[in-house]
Amino acid sequence: MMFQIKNLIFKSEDRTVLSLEGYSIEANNHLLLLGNSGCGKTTLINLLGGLMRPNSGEVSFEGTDYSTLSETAIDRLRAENFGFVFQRLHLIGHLSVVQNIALAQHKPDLSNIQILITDLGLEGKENQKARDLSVGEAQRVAIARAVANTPKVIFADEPTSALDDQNAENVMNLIFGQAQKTGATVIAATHDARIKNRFTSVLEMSA
Amino acid sequence: MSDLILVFSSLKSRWLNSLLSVFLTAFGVMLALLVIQFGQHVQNRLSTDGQGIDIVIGAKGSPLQLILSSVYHIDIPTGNIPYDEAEKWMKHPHVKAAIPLALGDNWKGFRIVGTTQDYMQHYKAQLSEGRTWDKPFEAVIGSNINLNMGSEFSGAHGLGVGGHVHENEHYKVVGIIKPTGSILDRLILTSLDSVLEIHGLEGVEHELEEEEHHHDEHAHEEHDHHDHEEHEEHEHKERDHEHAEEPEITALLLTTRYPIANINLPRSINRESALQAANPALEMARLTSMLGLGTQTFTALAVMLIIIAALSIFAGLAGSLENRMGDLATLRAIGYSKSRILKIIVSEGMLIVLAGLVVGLIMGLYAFSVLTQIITPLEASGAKISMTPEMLMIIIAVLFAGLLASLIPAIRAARVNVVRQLARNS
Repeated sequence: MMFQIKNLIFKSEDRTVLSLEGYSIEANNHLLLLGNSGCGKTTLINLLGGLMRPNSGEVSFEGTDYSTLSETAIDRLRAENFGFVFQRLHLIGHLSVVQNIALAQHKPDLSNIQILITDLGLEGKENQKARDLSVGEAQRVAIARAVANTPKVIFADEPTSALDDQNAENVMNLIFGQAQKTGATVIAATHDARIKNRFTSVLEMSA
Repeated sequence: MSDLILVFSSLKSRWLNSLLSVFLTAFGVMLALLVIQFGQHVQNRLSTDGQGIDIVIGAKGSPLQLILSSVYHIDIPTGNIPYDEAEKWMKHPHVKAAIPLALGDNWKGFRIVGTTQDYMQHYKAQLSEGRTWDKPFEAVIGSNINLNMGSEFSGAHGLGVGGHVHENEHYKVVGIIKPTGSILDRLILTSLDSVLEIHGLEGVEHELEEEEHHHDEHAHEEHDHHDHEEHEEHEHKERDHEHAEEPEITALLLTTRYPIANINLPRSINRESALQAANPALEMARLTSMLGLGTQTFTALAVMLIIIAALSIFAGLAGSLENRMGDLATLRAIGYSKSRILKIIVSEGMLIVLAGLVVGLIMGLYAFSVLTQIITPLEASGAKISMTPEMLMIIIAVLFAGLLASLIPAIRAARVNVVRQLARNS
């Protein structure tokens, strides 16, 4: 079992944002969290990724309950096991393409970065500042950064919501292509039903 | 990726702000260095050159001027005094040692001082070459004077560069003093009579010798041929100068037998004679308090600059933090710990401080060498840079100020709310 959720409740300003009695995610069981805005899908991604703690209940990864871990231990767990593709990418503008990708590597591996750059069609852009990239290029760098530490899980928050069909297709190809290479499980949150068929499981959520 | 690359890249991305902080720090450090170094130099000079001189007698005028001109050789004398009157005080029972000085001429700005050999002994000067003067117009030079053994030169009237050159009289270098770290290094010493004679005054050396004969019978029981020759020479000179005016000297340096004499003797002299007596310790305390006021102003300025620099580092980091919260949240999300973020932000501040410190020290050293070249008294007094505990304190204070200035934004950065920042930026 990769993730185990029990009696999970997350509240914001006394409002219950997410309530999930029990849920399990197996390794290589790519999961899509599907629902409209405000249904709690991003919150669930954040809870699974250890970016926030629930008000009650349990989230565990590979048998380790997050509530038993210190903040530093969760940081380390995240650095070693998870990759993130954020909706707005969040590249660091003053760093180059290579530097942005290398940020995610807890152990420096330049050859892996070079492979990623080739795989994602970023040759010649290695030293270009992230702020000077086109949206498409930036998206590819964000995906490269998410897989640079060879994670067990790739979290993607609304990876295709602002893209046309063709670009949405390309992005999903890249994410799943990389996931296949590294053996990672993809967990994505979206309201975009176009990518539904890519996933093994779909958790439909409502507000 | 090395965190240092991240730090450099971040500083580079706001280079104007970083550069401003570096230069503010640098100016503060430079000013502090100059204040400390010059203060140290003045303190050293005052204590080395003034040691063992309890009272200075000279012409009426400013007592400080008298001390500065005759002990430190950095001002013009208050005037001349009749030798006969000065002589009375040389014999005073409370006086342990007396050194007469006759000033008035210079060679290329270096003062020619007519004196007795006691002056050299007072500073424990040793010769590196040659011997001391035996007769008029023989000179012994300090280690900073650019003349060789046997060189001949003429003095120019006055105490600064320029002035009428006494073409008819030539001095000859017969000895060179080893570096003493005192005022002697920058003086040309000769017999009292050399200076008196050149200015048309009657010589006094024979009187001094007679004085010594009178006081030290054992040492002068035997007069050799050489002594007779010298005596005859003095008589000859006396005949030459039978129209010469009464001898005058510029100042008399006294060492007293009892500390109380340092207070009482000047009072007696000032009351009972037309001479002026000044106590170097009192005058120097007065000067130091005046200089201290200036030093305190510069120190305050240096401290203010360092505080401004620290505030600028704080403002630079804190101001940019608002725009960087998204970046920092991203770093936290991909696994950077709070302590790592704290180290990155502190490193940015400390890198600015270190750069400012290095630039400031280089600028300070350069400014010090330029100032010592263009400010004559500093050049003349051989001001040199030296590492002092105060310098170390400044370095530590600057580093501490930088640490404090970067720590506050760094703590804020480390506590970034990851989820909120990522949501706000999305």
